[in-house]
Amino acid sequence: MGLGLRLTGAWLTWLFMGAPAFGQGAGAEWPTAAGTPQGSRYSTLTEITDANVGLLRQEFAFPTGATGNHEGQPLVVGRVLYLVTPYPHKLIAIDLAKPKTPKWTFAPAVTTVAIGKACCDTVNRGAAYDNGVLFINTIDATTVAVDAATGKQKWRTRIADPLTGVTLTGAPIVVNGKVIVGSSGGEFGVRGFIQALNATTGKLVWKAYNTGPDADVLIGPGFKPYYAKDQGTDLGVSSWPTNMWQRGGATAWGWFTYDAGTNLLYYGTANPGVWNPDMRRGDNKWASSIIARNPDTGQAAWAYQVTPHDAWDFDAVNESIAADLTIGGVARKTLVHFNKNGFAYTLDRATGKLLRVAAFANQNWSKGVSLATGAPVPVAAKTPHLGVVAENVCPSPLGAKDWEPASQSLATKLFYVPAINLCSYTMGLKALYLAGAPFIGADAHIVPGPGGNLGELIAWDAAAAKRVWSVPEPLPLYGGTMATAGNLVFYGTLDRWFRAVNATTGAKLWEKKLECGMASAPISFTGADGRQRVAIITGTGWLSGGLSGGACPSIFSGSSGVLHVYKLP
Amino acid sequence: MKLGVVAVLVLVQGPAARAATVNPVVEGRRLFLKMNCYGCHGIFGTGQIARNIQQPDPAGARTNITYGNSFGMPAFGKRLTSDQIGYIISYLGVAGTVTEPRFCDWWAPTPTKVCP
Repeated sequence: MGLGLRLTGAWLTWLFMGAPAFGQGAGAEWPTAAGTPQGSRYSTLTEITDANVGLLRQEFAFPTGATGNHEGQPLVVGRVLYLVTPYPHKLIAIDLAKPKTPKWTFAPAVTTVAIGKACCDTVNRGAAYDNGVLFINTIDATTVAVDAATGKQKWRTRIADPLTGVTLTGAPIVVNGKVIVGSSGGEFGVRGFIQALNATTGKLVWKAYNTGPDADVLIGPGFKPYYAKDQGTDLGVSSWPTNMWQRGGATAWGWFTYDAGTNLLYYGTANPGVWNPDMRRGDNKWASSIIARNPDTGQAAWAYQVTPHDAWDFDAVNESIAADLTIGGVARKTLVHFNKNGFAYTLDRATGKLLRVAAFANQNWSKGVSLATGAPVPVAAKTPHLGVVAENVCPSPLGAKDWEPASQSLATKLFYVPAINLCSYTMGLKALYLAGAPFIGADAHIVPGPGGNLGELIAWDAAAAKRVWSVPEPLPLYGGTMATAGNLVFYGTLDRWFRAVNATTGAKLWEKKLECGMASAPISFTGADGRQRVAIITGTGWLSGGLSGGACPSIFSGSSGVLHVYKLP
Repeated sequence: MKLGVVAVLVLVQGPAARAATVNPVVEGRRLFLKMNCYGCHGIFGTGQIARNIQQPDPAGARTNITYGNSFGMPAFGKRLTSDQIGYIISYLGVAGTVTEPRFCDWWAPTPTKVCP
C-alpha cells in the first residue's frame, strides 16, 4: 500500500511535470547527435554527480586515426559506440565490452577535390542512427548508409557535385523514416538547401532550397510566418538584387532538431553570399533564418529571419533546442536558439513568435531586437561596406557562439552556452563569381573582445532571458557542452582541458588536461557493465588551431585525435 | 652622341613607360584579389583553407594556377592570360616581404585602401 502510494505519487508528479521532459534526456544510449531529437544534450544518468565527479578515471582511450577538427560526437546504441572522423571520414564501431580494437571500420571513398571546397576544415559533425542503420555525410557532398551490425554499406547517394562548391559537414537527423541532410558551402556562391532521403533506399523524398521562388523553398498555403517582415510571396527572390539568390549561400550546415509534438523539423540557415552587403541590397531571404518544416513533406510551417540583410556572417545554423519552459507563469513550448549575432532567442516553436530575446554576450552591431517586429536594429557604423572598414565590430564572423552546441539541463532548467569573445575589423570587397572558387567579398581582421578572456561558459535562463553565471575561459570555447542529471556540465577547451562544473553554480569540480584541444561535444551513456560513462574526442584543425597555437595534433606528427572514455572507480 | 642620348632615353623611358601602365606586382595583387585567391590562401597568401603560397617556386605556381589540382584548386588557365598569371607570380614573389602591396580595393583604378 505504502509502496503503491509512493509509486502513484511519483506517477502523478511525472504527469504534472510533463512527460515530454523525460523524452528530452538521453539515458543508457546516446542515439542521435544531440542525445535527443529535441537537441537538449542532457543525460538523465545520475551515477556521476557533483559529489563524486572528482573521482572520475579514464577507462580507455582510442585514437581516431585522423587529424583535423573533430567536431562531431560519438553515438552509443546498445553496447556499441560509433564515431566518425574528419576527412577521410572513417566510421568506427567500438564494442564497449572490448574497446581495444574496433568491431569494424567503414572507410568511404571520398573525392579529394572537396578538400579545397571546405571553408573551415574538412570536418564532420557526427553520424545519425535509425533502425539498425548509421548515416553519415562526407565532405564530397555524399550521404552514406551503413549497416550498424556489419559495417557494410547499404546505400550511397551523391547530393551534389563538390566541384560546384557544395560540401556536406553536418550531422544528419532521421525523422519518420527520412534522413535529413543540409548543404554546406556558403563561401563558394552556392544555393543552400536541405533534403530528405528515404532511410531504406537513399532516394530523394523532397528537397527544399533556402533561397529562390516559394515553389523551390517549399513554401505553400500552410506557411505562416509570425512577423510581417517575413510575410509575402517569393521573398526568396524579391529580397535580392536580380538573380543574386541563385548564389546566395543560405546553406544549412548546422544542427537539425525535431519535436514530435508539433511534428516540425527545425534548422537554421547560413549567412547570405556574398559577404559584401552592398552587392545584395535587400533582406536576402531566407539566409540567416530559422525555418520550421513538416519533415514528411518538407513544406515550411514558419520562418523567422534572425538577421535580415546580414552583413556580419551571422549564420543561424546554431542549434534550436525544443524546450518546455514556464514563462511568466505560463507553460510554453519553446525553441531556444543562441545566435552567432550575440542574442539568445526564445521562440514559440509552433508559431515562430518571439517570446524573449536578449544579448547573451558582448555585442555592438545592434541596438537590440524588437519583440514587436522581430527585427534587430543595426548600428550603421558597425556595418561593413564596399571599401569601408567597420571597426571593432562585436561579435566577429566567428560569432558570439558558433556551431558549437549548447545543452539544457532539465533539472536546473538552464542552458549552457559555449561562447566566443572576439571582434573584428571588416571591409567589404567587390567580388566576381567564378564557379568553384570562393565567393566571399570581404576581409575580416579578428581581434580579442573586451575583458581579456576570449571565451566563456555561460549559464542562461531562457525563460527570463538573463545570465545566471559564467566561467571565463582564456580561449574561445570551440566545442559543445553536455548537461547531466548529476548536476554537472561537461565541456572541452582549446587549451586542452576537459572539465566538469556544477550545473547550478558553475563551480569547477573536475578537470583533466588532454593531449590536444577539443572542438567536439561530450556525451554520456552506460557501458557494458551498466555503469555511467562520459566521453569526449580531442583534435583541432587549422581554424581552431589558429586560435590556440596551431592544429593539434599537427598533420605531420603521425598522431591523431583521441576518444577518451571516463567512469567512476 | 645624339644616338647615345636616344639610346639612354629609350633605356630609361621604355621600362618606365610600361611600368606606368602595368606594374606586375600591383597588377598581380589586384588579380590575386579579383580571382578570389584570398578566399582560400588568405588575404596576403599566408594560407587558410589552402596552403601558404608566398614566394612560391614560379614554375610550380604557374602549373597550379593554369591547371588547378586534385585538391580543389580551380584551373585559371582559361580565365587568365599567360602575362596575367605572370603578374600573380610576381606579386606572390614579394608577398610577405616589406615591399608587398597590402591594398584591398582591387577594383579601384589606383588601389590605396589597405586591408584592415
